[in-house]
Amino acid sequence: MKEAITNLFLKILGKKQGYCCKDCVKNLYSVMDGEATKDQEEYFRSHINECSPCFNRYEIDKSVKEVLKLKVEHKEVPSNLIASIKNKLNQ
Amino acid sequence: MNSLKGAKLIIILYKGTTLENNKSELDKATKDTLFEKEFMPLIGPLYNFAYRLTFDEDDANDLVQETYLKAYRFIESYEKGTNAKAWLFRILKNSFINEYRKNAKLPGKVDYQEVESYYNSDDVDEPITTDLRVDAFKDMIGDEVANALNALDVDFRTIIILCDLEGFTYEEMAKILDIPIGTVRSRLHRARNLMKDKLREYAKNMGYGKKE
Ligand SMILES: [Zn+2]
Repeated sequence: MKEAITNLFLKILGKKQGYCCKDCVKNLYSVMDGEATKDQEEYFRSHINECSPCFNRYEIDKSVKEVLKLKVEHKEVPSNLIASIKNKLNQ
Repeated sequence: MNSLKGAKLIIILYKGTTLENNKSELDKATKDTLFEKEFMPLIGPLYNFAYRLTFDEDDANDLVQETYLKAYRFIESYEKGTNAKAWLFRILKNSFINEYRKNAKLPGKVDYQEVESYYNSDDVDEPITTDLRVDAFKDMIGDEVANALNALDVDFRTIIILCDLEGFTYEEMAKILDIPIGTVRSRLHRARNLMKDKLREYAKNMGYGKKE
């Protein structure tokens, strides 16, 4: 168990690898969030084939987004909440 | 007839319309059906949003209840066929700000001005740091990510919840939060960087940040 956690955190801590431009970051999020136009998306996809900082950044940010969606606990709605809302409405 | 002027006037009237000013035109049966069919099915996401804002089950309960009571009271201002989820989220967010946030113990307000001018200025290049590895997130246990999210200032937490957990569009988020789309982008950008900082912090606290 301890070894598994060690490996996990060793993976998180890599090295800083460089820079790209501000527009790329903006595009990156647009693509990731499904907000980019077709042209923007096409441009970005071809850009990350050549730019490793952007490629890595995209992969990382996308992974965080996916993990958030998959792993953040979903809380059950308390069973009496709906009844209590309806009760209040009919008062 | 100046139609442009007319259109502008309508927009102003629409924007200036307070919910209270709307006269009831729907009968009770119609209201109840709308409420039941379009609003009640969204209680799950609303409750989760409320819980992640307040971190308290009772407060989340109250907040959701209040949201639904307001939604029913102001149901005339809801346009059928528009996004009910965004509309309800906006009501919940406003209720939270009005009634919970001022009482809650929250960290100091973030200086968005600074953040946004940084993000919007053309001469600043965004350094792309890739000191987080993809593989780590693929296997990352949920607790770390949830903790990183919960540790964020409420405005940053909110934008991540709306975008990444609930899948709202930038435009919908702008409406829910009453901010321009540019601010949605910059806040999201900042929130995501903070999330990654938190994840790095966890790693360091576990003792893996030392240079070999
Ligand atoms: Zn690039």
